[in-house]
Amino acid sequence: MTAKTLPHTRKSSLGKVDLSREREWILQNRHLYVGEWVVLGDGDLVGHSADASEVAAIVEKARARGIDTPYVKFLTEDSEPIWMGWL
Amino acid sequence: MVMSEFSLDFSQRLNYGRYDQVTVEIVLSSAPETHVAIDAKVDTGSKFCIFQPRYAFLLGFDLESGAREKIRTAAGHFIAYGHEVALSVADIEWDTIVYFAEMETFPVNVVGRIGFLDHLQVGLVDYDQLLYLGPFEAA
Repeated sequence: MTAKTLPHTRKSSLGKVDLSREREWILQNRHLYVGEWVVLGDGDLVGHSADASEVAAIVEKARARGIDTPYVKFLTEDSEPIWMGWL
Repeated sequence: MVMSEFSLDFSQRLNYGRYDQVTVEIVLSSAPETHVAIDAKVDTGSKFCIFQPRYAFLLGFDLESGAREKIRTAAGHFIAYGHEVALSVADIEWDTIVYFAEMETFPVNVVGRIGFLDHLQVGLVDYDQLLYLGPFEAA
């Protein structure tokens, strides 16, 4: 049996991760952007695209606005099959 | 009266009630100072943390230069590539390897055992939709 290495953690340099405003935005606006990538910062939409290759440019736009940690998500249909987990 | 011999301390309590599954809000970071915020499902049955490939590009990684793994699932298999990131959840952060699926249409982001659960102590009260987290502490 091999010895396990103890995991090392630290206090996050980013502060507490809190995407509650972004989550609220998604709940309110999901239906408008199904099938698209959305990029949010500080709870607001920075940009969106159905073309994944355009997401990096939108993220750069967010960073140029001072949003260091943009939230990026692909919005699927609510009616898609339930995810059962266990990869 | 039932007495327990076991107890765990948690520094964080997260409410996942606004999500439809047990979900954590995380930030992945790569050097230098490139961050992306993601929500990811907690999957205790997944050995690795797996993300959609678009995030690898946003973090500045050349996807296929990472450590290649063939990952088996209940429905088949897929290829993913491992890259080193800093992963933050709540106010806890660590360095680890996470995987990005090769398939552009990979449908979910998942945090699993290696790279996530193995760095934490976790408690779950699903009735209240509360997830308790703290950094792992050796007994």
